Amino acid sequence: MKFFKILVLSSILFIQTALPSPKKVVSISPAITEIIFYTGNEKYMIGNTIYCTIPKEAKKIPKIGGIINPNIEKIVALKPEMIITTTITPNNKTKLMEKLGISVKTYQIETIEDIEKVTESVANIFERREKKFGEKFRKSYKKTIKKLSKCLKGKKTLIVFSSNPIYTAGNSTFLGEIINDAEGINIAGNGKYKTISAEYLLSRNPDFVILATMEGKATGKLFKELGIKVIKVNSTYLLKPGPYIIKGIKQLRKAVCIEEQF
Amino acid sequence: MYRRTVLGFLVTGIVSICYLLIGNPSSEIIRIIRSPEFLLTFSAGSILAVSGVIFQNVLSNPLADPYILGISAGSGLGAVIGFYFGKDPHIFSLLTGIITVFLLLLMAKFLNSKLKLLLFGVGLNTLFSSLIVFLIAFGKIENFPSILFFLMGFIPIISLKKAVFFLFLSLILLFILLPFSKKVDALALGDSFAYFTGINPEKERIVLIFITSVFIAFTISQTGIIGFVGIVIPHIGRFLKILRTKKLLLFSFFAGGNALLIAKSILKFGFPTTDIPVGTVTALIGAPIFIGVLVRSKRFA
Amino acid sequence: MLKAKNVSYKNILKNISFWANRGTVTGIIGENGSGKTTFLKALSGFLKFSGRISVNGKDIKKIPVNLRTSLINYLPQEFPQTELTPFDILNITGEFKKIHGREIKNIISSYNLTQIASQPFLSLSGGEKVRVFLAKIELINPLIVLLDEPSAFLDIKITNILKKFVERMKRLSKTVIIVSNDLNFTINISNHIVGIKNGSLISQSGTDIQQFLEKVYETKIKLTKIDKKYFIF
Repeated sequence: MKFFKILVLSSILFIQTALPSPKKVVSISPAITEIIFYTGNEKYMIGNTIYCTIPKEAKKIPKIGGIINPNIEKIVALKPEMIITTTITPNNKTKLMEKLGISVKTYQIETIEDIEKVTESVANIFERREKKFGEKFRKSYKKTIKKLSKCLKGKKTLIVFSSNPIYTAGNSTFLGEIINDAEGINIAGNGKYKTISAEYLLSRNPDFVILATMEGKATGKLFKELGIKVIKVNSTYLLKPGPYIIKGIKQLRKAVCIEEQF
Repeated sequence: MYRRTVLGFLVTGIVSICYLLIGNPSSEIIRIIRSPEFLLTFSAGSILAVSGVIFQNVLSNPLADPYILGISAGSGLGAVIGFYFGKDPHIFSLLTGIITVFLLLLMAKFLNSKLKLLLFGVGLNTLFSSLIVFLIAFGKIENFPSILFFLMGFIPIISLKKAVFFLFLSLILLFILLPFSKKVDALALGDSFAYFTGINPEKERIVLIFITSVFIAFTISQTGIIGFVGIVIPHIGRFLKILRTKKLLLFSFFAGGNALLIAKSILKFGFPTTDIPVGTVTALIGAPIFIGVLVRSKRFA
Repeated sequence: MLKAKNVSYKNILKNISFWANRGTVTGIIGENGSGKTTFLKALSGFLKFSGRISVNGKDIKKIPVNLRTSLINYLPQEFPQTELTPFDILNITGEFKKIHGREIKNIISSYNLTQIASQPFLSLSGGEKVRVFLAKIELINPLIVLLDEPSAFLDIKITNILKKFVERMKRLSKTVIIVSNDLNFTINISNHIVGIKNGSLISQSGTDIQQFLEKVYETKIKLTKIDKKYFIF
């Protein structure tokens, strides 16, 4: 029995090591694109989505469409060895690509832990490196969060994307986690992304509201009318669940700490 | 009839007090959230219902509602364009709404036929709706909830000043339309009948549609596309044997405003922590009633 | 006196000239689709025709719409589907002419509508509906009365009501124009008959009635005269 186990284990190891790392990869996720750059494997990325804008160099890579609606024909024309995507991409698209003979790897990236784990996993796909990148991200995250908590500790707040309706991020999202990890109190409560009523928001007595939208022209007018302080934050990096979110958290720290005069 | 108007005020008074005070809110909440909400909801409901009366009678079509000629899709398109370019969707929606109204005016004069106008409106609705879907497909994902709320119809939180403005709008619309009651009655009996009572049916129809559509455009620019109020409330009035336009307008003013208030209350007090667009309730309740009306009118076809 | 000169409308009416005096009944006959109803609508000014139609010398196009209907009014071929009551319908009509309560009550009783005055219009029988609209016309009291296919209901009772109505209008010196395919009814009630064929007017003057009818309908017609009345087969 024991011998059998060793045989199975070693053959698996053998198969793993026997698989060559892919040299031509298409990413159907901005988060995955970030990870590929973060782990230094961008030279193997031959295509990504129109939403892959981080880091700046990712924009130069040929585009294959969107996240939910990638252009399968374009992908196939690039002749990739592997496609890496997230669970946001619809099932039927990934199945189609598998049918066309391309190997597809799908990840779920919703929490900070996910970012760490997937970074590690993707790094392993490319080269047999020691576990470096996942850990690198975690350390960087912890450091930045600690700085953020200096201003955020004990503060009742939430991150909102729009005011009518009030669309916000619950504790099960990476944004909610950021607040909680920085020892703030996420008024949005449990759950993922949701809309909350203005009365509920008022009744929870927030210290301030973090307004994170992509456009520069974000209206915190509603919150001001409700008498709630608004902190606008540049969210180019913050709203994407990839390793570059560290930059976003730094921007968040800057915005919050200046407002709170730390 | 004055008795009924007083009754209308009474009912509105009771509903509004309930709305403002349920759950024992702080005076701050009453001032900043509930009062504007209540005023806007009532105004939107009354404008929609009153417009529904006009559209149904003026087009001699019990299935008509204020959106049938395409103004909803036109305003919706403006809002989606606003979202797409990161501009204020309210202003854009009002702009495209007014443009649609003028377009309709032109076509009404040019087409000279009720049926053709209706069909043109249907065509316009389809065109704009497909443009809306197209834009959404290329839009930013964070905008989806806002766009969804707009298209379903919702009550945003606005300043008390704006809310009072809308109340005035609804009252002004009612006072503009009441003197037309006679003509609307005549139009409802067909163009031929209307002509032989001494009015120019085409002209009066265009004027009435234009006036109501402008008010509808203003409403949509704030609340999005709240459905079924315009079509169902007048029918409830007729079901209660209120057939003449003057009484029906008054009934619809109060019934529409209060009905929407009740719909909003169901969501607000049934699901206090979250925010659900009021259009969902109007659709859920309105659609079965609408189908009931369809079945009922078939009997007399 | 109603006068039409060179009236055309799209390609349905072609250059029709026509006149009718006060206190007379003119019957307009013709095949289906020949343009009879369209001609009536043009006469009343409801359609935008080319040519000239005048009432007592006044061009109808120059008369504002709200005054036209006191001059000419119309019994339609089809009635609106409505839940409004005869009382409502007469009231709506009356409000425009500033006619009030008592006059309306009088009309209702003289047309035997009292029983049904508060019932929904669409629940009434064909004859009752006709009576409501005849009452409406009398309420308006126009100089010229146009009747469009009034005997389309093929009901003896209705025909009698119509006959009485037409005779009454004649006595009140009104100009009556009836469009009908019921030849027996029309020929016997009219002072003059004209025919419309393919949008053009065919006058009877000078021709024998039988020849005239055959010309209008392009078919063999058998005509008998019994007791000063014509019967057509």
